[in-house]
Amino acid sequence: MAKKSAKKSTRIEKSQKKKKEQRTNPFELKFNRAKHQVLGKKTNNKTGVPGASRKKADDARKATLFNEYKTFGKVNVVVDKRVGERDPNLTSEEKLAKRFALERQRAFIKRGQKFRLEEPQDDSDDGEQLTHRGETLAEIEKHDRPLSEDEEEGTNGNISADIVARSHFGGGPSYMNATDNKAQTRKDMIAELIAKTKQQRYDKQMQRDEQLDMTDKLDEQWKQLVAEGGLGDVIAGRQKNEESTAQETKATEGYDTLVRQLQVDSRRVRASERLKTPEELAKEERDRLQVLEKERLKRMGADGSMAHRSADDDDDNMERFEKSDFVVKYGPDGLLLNSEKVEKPTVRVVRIDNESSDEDEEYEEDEDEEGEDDDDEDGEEDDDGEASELSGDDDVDGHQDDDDEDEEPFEEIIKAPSEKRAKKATAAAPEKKKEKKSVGGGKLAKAGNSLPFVFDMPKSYEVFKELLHNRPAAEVALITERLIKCHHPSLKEGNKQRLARLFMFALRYFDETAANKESVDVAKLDSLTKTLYALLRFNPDDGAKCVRALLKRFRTLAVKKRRRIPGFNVVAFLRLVPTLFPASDVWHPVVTPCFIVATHILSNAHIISPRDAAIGLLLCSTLVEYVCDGKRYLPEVIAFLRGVLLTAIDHKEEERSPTGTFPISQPHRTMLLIKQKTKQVDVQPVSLSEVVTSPKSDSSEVSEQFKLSIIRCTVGLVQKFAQIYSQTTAYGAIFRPFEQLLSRLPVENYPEALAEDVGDLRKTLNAELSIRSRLLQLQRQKTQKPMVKMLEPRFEENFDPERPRLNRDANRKGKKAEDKRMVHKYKKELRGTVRELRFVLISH
Amino acid sequence: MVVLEKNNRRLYWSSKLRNLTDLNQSQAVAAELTSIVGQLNWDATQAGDYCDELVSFAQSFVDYIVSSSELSRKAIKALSDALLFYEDIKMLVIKALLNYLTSVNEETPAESMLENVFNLLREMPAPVAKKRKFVACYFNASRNVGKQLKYKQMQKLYQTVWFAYLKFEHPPSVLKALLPFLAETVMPIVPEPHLLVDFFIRSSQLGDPYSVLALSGIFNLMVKHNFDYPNFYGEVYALTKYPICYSSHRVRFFELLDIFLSSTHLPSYLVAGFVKRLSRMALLAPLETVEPLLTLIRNMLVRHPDIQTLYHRSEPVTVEQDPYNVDEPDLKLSGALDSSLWEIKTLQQHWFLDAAKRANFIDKGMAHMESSVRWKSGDDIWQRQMDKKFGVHQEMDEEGEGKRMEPDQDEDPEQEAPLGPVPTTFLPPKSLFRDGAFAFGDYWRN
Repeated sequence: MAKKSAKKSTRIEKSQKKKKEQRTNPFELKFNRAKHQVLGKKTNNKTGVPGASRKKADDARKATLFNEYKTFGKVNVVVDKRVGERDPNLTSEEKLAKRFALERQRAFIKRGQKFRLEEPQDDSDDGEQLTHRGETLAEIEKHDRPLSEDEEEGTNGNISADIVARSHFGGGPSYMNATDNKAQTRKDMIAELIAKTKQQRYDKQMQRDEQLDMTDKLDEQWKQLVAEGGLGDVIAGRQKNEESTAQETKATEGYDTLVRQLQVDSRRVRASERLKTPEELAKEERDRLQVLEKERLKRMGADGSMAHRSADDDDDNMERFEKSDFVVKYGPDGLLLNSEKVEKPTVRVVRIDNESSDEDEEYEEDEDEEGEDDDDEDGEEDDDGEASELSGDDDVDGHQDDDDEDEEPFEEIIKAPSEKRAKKATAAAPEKKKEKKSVGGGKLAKAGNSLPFVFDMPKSYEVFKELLHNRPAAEVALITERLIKCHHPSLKEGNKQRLARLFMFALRYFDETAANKESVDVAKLDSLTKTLYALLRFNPDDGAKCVRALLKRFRTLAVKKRRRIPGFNVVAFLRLVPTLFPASDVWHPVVTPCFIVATHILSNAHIISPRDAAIGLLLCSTLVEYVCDGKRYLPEVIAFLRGVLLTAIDHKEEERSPTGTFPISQPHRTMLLIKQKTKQVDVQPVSLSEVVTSPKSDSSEVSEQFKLSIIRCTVGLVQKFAQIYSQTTAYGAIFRPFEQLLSRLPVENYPEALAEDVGDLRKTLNAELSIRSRLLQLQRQKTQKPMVKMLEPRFEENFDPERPRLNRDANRKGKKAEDKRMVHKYKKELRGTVRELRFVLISH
Repeated sequence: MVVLEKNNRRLYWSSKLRNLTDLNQSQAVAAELTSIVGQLNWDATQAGDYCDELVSFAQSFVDYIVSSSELSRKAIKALSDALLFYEDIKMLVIKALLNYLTSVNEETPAESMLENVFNLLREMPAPVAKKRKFVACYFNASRNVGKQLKYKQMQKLYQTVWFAYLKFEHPPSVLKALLPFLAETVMPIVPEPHLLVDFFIRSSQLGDPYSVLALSGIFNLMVKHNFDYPNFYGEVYALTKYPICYSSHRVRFFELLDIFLSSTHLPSYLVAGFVKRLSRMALLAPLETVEPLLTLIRNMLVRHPDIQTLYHRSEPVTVEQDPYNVDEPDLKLSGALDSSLWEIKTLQQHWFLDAAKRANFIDKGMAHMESSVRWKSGDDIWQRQMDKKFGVHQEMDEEGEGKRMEPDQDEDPEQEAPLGPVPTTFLPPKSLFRDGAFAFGDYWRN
């Protein structure tokens, strides 16, 4: 207690002293209690004022430690760069003179440059440039943005700046001057103002119109020039113009606007792929064919592994047709899918003779209807947003500029290049935009001179037939070709269906032409084949259905009259199929049924005359086409050929043909037997027209020549099939009987050429037989049995009994697992600590 | 007076039968007959009249059958169903028929007669031992009908009438149906079937379809009645020829062949010869025949493990040419056992996928079970092909939908056509005929 009081007394003493000096509020004084009193230690701190002592300490630190800190780690030299300072030869006055000179030099810098950011551009100095997005500001300034009309006008709807300045801020005297010191009413003033503004606006409008006109004119000229022969002429023309002073300004102006326009346009048009060189095109075509061939071979696979994606080149073509990302697709209801991407078709009708007006109306109606349809569809199918997005800006621009440009890719493909040129020629001198243009200009075959270029799609078969009736083959080809071109699916919605119908008509016409009993028009059939092929590519599924329908009819007929050999039309049809569809496929919806019908005919139809045999042989030669690639075995054909050969041999009744469809009674049994010597007969190929046109006659009426040509054909077929089946294991079993039959032919009666043919065939057959008869007895392929899985014990190196699963479990190894473990450990520790602390708290 | 009465009755019945226009009226005739018989008093003295009534009916019935030319098999069936259902009438008809047949002397009587009689004999209910039905019967009088109605006597009577019928020369249409009927139906009933052999042998020499049918009868005799027929298989082998595959009775033939070769005790050279011959036939067979033929060959190989050397040898030897000689009629010399089934290998390349697959058995291990030989008609095959879906939308032809067949069980699951559009050729054609692999222009001109 005593000690405390003593302390108190000293404090009071001190405070009293300070009171006297600073009159500080004693309650504000604070004391830091010294922990240890050190004897003899001086404290230079002011006591009772911690703020002051803190300040003092701070100042001391700033003076010493802070400076030290600031220069911490810095090693530097201060260089004096004043002019002449480092030259020891100069006197101080010289130095001053130099500095003055520099000062004066600076004073000469222009006033405008005074505030320039960059340094003056000296030769040595590459001053820094300000950029925006990698481009210098100067360049950006040059870069003239196309101004919209509003921007360009600037004052649209507003009063021009000078008027504003004058009327609003002009002040009295000037205003009085302008109005000839007459006192005007405010009303007059405003009217005048309005009139002036209007006049100004009108002037501007006129100017712009003039410019537009000039641009248009130049456009036309430009187009013409392009059509005539490229840009070179333009430049030449410009140079010429420069000479004539009167025209000079106008031309350059026009040229400038043109350049500007081209610049603007070039920014709108997307860069396209470069044109391909012929070599590249050829390579592409080769690659395409290679891919398709690979697919075909896959489908041909004997193990029945059918390709699940068929090698339909149609897709490919589609891609080529539509370079852009648009594909013509129709929904199940026959409406065009994503039609919003399709350009509205421009209707082009050629006026033929005088009957055009009706046609036009019809077309226009069609167009209207279509437009409605389109709208409807837009409503329905807008939900796929992607498509509508895609048809955004670009398409709109396309609309603005020209209608026909976007269609060109489609037309290019289906038109010959010459036609394109022709079209350009017509486009060069347009009077109105909506003028009727010629679609199929150029390529005029001799036959087609008199033909119109555009045909209506025939509505019925009769119309179609009327169109082609009594026309030569070349014209038929041309007409159908033009029909296809005019109704390409990309041109108009619904054309795909129309073309499918056209395929049906063409097929029917093909059949009818082939069924003609009076004559065989092979050329016409050829051109129809090409047409059918061209049509099939648009819609192979519908085409296949048509073909199958016709085939079904033939089959019903063949079953009903199964003993009767069918007409030429059936054979022609069966020959047509492998030109349209790949015959080598292991299964094909069209080709396989065709096989069935053909073999049904061969194995059932009774051959009662050489004419029947001829048709049968024609069918056999058709079937060569079916099997030559796949080398599929055709028992029926082999049996038929043996039967035909047997009729050319003098044989007994017991000897029967394998098919049993050949006559067993004389004289039909040996209807192809040549009994007299016919050395001098010239053996021609079998005449198709003779086969088709001759009535179903007896063998007695048939000339020896006809028989001989049939025999020749048979020999040729045997040779072909021997070649096709040369790799089969049963070669001997198949062709030894042929050899025997051939050896029995009355060769001595045949003309020399034919006898030679027979001899050659026998020779080759014998040679082949001697090679191919050598056979290895069959042995089943041994299949390797899979090894039994061995169960060996697994030894673990570095086995840790405490963590036995460490090596087995991949998840327990590596850095990740380690981290996980650490996190787990940390959590565990934390939990333990918290629990401990809580315990401590509670216990205290 | 009685004679007159009899003739009257005959006339009455024959006019009655002749006036039959509708098949249903035969029932009415039967009803009338039974009612007439029923009206007769049950009296021994009247037994004569009663029998005469039936006898005169039977005679007029036979007359009618024999003489009318345009009686269809259906009509005869209706008549016999209505009348010959009664055992006593049937017996009297048979007796009358026998009388008639023995009275015919010429070798080749009218075809219509032979046909009608065959139809009658065919449609007539075979004699049965029990549950017989009568119009009337009585047993005490000397002229009773019932006395002769014992089963064995019926059988004998049946046999006699058949033999009486078989002595004629039959038209082909009758013979084709007659041979299988004899073998299948008549042979088990008649007490002395071996007597039919003469007829069978005679018809086996007639040629193609008949020989096979006759052989089936002979085979039945061999199997069931211990009949000895040397070189039976040689004859069958001689019949197994290419044209069979194309003929209309191929199904019957191959069924019979299957039965002939069903014994596992046949010598292997014999079976091997047949198998080789069949595979040669398959090389020239039409579409409908290939698959069953292949199945048949496979079944043979399963049935006779001895000849599995035909498709698998542990030490194969290279031969100069096929040791099998098709034209050799003697099975022992044909050399089939040293051969292999190379023909089946070739058929794996058959144009028809199903047939080609069917031929794959040669590469696999032999199955343990035989599978049934399925004969598909051309229409079936056609329909199945046309029913397969194709194209992008996998549409089917409208007509095909209803007739879809239930899939075969042992067949591989029907392979679906590939998705996507129908494949087309990718090289445009230049010409219809001249554009192909075959040098068309060398052999054909316009």
